[in-house]
Amino acid sequence: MTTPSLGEVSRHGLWSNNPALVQLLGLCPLLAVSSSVVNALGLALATLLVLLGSNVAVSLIRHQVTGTLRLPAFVMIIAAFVTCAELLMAAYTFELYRILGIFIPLIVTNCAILGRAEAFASKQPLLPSATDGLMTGLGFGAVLILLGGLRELFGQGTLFAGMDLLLGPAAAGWGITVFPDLDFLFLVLPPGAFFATGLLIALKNVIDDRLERRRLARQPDRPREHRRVRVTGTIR
Amino acid sequence: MSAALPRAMGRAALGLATFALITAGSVALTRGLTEERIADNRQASRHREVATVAPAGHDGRLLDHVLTRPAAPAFGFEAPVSLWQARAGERVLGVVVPVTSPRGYSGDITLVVGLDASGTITGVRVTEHRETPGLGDRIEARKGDWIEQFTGHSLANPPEGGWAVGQDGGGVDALTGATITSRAVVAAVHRTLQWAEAQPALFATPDPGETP
Repeated sequence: MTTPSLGEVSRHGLWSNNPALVQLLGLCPLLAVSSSVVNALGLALATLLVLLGSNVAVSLIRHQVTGTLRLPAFVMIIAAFVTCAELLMAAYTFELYRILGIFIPLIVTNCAILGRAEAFASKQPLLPSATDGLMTGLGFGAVLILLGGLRELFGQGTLFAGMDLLLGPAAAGWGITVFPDLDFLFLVLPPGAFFATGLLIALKNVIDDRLERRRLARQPDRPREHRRVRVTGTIR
Repeated sequence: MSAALPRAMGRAALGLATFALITAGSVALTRGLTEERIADNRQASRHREVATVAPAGHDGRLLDHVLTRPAAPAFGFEAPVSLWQARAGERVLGVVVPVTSPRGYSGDITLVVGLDASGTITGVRVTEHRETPGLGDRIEARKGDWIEQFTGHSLANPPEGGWAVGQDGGGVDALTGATITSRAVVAAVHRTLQWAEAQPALFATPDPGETP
């Protein structure tokens, strides 16, 4: 496996191979926690840290740990990072830790993390692996926060409410009430998260299609490739 | 069987053991560094909850005065009750009782109920619940003022029969779309009042030797 350029790694993590919109990995925390921006941001940060840490650690030991030992070792690394992240959150953002509850330890089961460790970091040098972890984490976090914003805005009519739980008392006044008295329960509950995620995936596909058409328009001679129909794009 | 397999197994076991040691060590280190702070956070969070419902004028050391009462299944207290006394000097101003209602819409609802020495409610707060977001979760003080309505009432006020939601012929307005949740909270507060009345010396200062 050749080492892709850092730009390519970043584009994959953020867009073309986005864990939430293309690989559809880690959907359980994505759907369950994205009911408000502050919850989404909290889980996004925790996931990002774990992903970055595990990718770096896995990349560092990739020559020593091979074969059958590989997967259990990766799982242990990830579990250790998650437990540390949980303890740190309990120590420094206690109220948010109580709200996110079971979903912090469940980061262990976010397959996006083990997936990146196995598919990328175990075969690549330190810098690309760290970039991959960072960008995949950012890609996952961006979708999580976008979803949290959508559901909070159209479900409860507020935006950035309760940010002080994560960012300290300075953020207490950040909450905006956009639609007072709005209670669109559907979006607040998990089914709304499914629909919103579906809409985001559709939007990404529309944008990709536009870009593809514009690219083809610039090179009129090349015949259009046959593509198999996929719901979520290509997994690389 | 050749000797290669046991040797490979031994190597794998050794490798995994090394890994377990390193990862467990790093977790232990983080735990050691954060333990004290987490315990402080838990204590402070508990203190905030108890302080919001405790009678005014206490000495601020609510969590230091714990009083344990035996279980009272007749009032729905299946386990011994550890409550907090709000004191000013030697005088007991009131108590804060933790209550769990198993009759929530989706699981247990835990509450703290503050009472002053005359048996009047000084505040009720929900500390944990899994009620429906947008409907039942309005029992939380930060999502609505429904929970405030209990303050100032006692077992005799409203009189007999008043301690129920409107649908059951009582005097408490249920939250729209969350009758079951409301019923569970009202019933839990009501039986706490009944329990408190049946407790001897709830507001008495224990002898100095007895103080925990």
